[in-house]
Amino acid sequence: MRRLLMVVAVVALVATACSSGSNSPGGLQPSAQASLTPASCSTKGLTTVGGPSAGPSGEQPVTIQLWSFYSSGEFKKYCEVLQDFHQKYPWISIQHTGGKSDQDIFRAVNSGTAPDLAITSGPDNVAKFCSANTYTNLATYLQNDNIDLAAIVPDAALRYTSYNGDQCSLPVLSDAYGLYYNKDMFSKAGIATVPKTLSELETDAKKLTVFNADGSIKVAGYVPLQSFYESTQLYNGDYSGGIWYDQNGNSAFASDPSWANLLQWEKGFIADVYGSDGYHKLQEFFSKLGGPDSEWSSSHGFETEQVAMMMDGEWRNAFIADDGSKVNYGTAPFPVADDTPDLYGAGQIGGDVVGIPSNAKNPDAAWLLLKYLALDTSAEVKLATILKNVPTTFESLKDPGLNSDEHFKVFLQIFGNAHSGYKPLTPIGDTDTSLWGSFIDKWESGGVTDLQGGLQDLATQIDNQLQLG
Amino acid sequence: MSTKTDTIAAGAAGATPARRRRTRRRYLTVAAFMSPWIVGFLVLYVYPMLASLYYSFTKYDGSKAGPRWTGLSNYQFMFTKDALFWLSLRNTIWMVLVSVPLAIVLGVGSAYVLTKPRRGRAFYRTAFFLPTMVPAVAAAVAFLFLLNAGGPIDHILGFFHLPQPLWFVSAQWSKPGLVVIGLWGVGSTMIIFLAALLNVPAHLYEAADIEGANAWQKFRRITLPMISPVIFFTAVIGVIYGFQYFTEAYVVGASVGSAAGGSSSALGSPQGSTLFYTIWLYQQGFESFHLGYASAMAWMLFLIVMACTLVLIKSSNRWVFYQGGFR
Repeated sequence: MRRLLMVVAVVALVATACSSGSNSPGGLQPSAQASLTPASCSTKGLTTVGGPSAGPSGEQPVTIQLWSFYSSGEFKKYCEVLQDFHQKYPWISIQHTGGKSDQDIFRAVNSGTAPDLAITSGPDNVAKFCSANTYTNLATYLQNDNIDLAAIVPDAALRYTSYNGDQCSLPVLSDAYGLYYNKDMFSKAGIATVPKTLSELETDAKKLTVFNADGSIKVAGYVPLQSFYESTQLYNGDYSGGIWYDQNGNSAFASDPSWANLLQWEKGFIADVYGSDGYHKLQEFFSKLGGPDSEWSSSHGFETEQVAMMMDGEWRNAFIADDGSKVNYGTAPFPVADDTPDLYGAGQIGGDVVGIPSNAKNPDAAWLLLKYLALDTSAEVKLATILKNVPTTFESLKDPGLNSDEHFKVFLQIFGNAHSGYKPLTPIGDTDTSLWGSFIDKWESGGVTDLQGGLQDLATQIDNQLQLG
Repeated sequence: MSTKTDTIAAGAAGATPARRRRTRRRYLTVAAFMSPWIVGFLVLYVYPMLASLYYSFTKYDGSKAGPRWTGLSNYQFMFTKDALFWLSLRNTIWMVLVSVPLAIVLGVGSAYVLTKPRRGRAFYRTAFFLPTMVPAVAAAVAFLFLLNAGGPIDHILGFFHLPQPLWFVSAQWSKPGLVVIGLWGVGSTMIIFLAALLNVPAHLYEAADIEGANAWQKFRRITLPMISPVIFFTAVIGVIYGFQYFTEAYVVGASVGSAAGGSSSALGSPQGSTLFYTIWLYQQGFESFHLGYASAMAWMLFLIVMACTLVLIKSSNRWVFYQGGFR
């Protein structure tokens, strides 16, 4: 009896302790906390645009709930476009709630508390949202409005907003990744043209790298570590022709040799440019720059001219201007693997995704807003201008205002390139990307001795995750 | 015999209506006072536990399609196909084995020191306890800055010509770095030990002084046995919470391994060294939408923690001394 009591006590203790505490990552998520402020654009997480008024054809006033991941400054800027929409459709008011994650949206849809429209920050969960009927298939709306999407939105953007032929969302602004280079350093090193292949990148990086007297890095020509700012995008296959999944839907990390070649190139690059202990030197260099957090501050390595070349998105142009950096820089498509020269000009793209939850209370009004945000040229151009991202329709990509900035224009061209794209979507979200990132991390540190064997293990791991569904 | 039994039965039957009413009223009163806890326990503990137990035998992504029964497949997957389950378990066990004993040693040590000052005792206690008031996320972010290469601690180590590890960027130093964050907040443990130390009867030390015992002998033969129940309690709680280690590692791992606006590009960076059990569980449940598998992981964690707790309780017979002999 005493033993039984002891076991019961232990179970109770463990059960209580296991479920107590506040270690939930939900605490890290921003949440909407503000009172309603009709017809205003606040920087808080909740704002309402418009007020009750009937439409020109007697449409009943309606307020639609919009959820997005936006917060602070971007949230307020978004409000300007929502006000434009309300002017166009005066019977539709919008209650916009910011700081919502993909998981928030998924949970809300499955618990019957979904908003009418949702904007997520990336395409990773589109496959899940389409296959689990989280978002409504837009086919009927598109058909009713006679919209030929292929004539309006580049194919790559349609691919990352659909799954198995189900166009359950649309792109609304995107990122595009390319090369940023320091013109003064190029000139000083006698480099006349931007590198177009990874070999040229290595040659130029070697010329541009400067060491301190103690052997540590003073200026890095290029940092290929996947944890360095946006360098990780290089390893998504867009610049080396890597295929994520074969025709049977199995991971192709082991079967497609371009992945192993890319990793071998990286290791060779580090040894050639930074020496045999280059990995350690680069880690120290990055850490002294302030680590990953410095990416979002004025101590950014490129902005402070401690990094000569880097991979980054179009938004860096705005950061450079906002941070008051004096760097004299240029932008170009990122170099590609030597054996895939036809990929030059393309790059990694992908960005915000908008969809109508399957149990939205006002889906028709939500469709009007979705259509406005994703397909209306003026709205796209305005959003791209104020948020400094790439618009996602053919017409908006041609906008003279956006193309007048030579730095930004490069990214518009990258987005429009037929070879640009986002990795294939699967119902496991970004788990494959995370596993791949972990593998590269281990490879860079020297923790992988058998590259092919390691890639095989990785592929098996991803296939196993896909099996779980 | 039968007469006595009949009498009792008759008496009981005679008192039944009034007595039963009183007893029922008393039960209802107690139940009414306990109802907030009972409802909370049933709704917030029992139901989620049973639901997660059921989900652990299903394929479930949280969608309206609902769970689909798959038997033991999630558990089978865990042991045979999920390499990161083992990696995360290893990392977690390392953390428990290192951080729990260190927290106890530092807790006892700092509490012992705090019993000594005759002046400013309250100030020192407050100073030691203050770090526990800092939220875990804020502490992790602060230590990311403090331990960063080029950061204040790095400069101090360099000034004394000591090794300057890369801490959270290095797979060898990331877990020790997390232990440092944990030990910084050892004040809550310290305060329990301080209470236990102050509770040790002074006459025991006086007797030991008369016998000529030195400081170490007094600590070893009097202090430690007298505070052993508190050490035991701290160890049990430390193990339970150690297996649920999450926040600091999540913040550090996400910061070091993040790219593109904070989306995780490398799990448990650097090199999987900060991939703890609950982080992998979170990734499976809320990033990969494998809620059935995540439930199975949660139950496996429950079993592991319970087994460890039982072992600790069993072993306590040998080393925990209860004053007065009550167990």
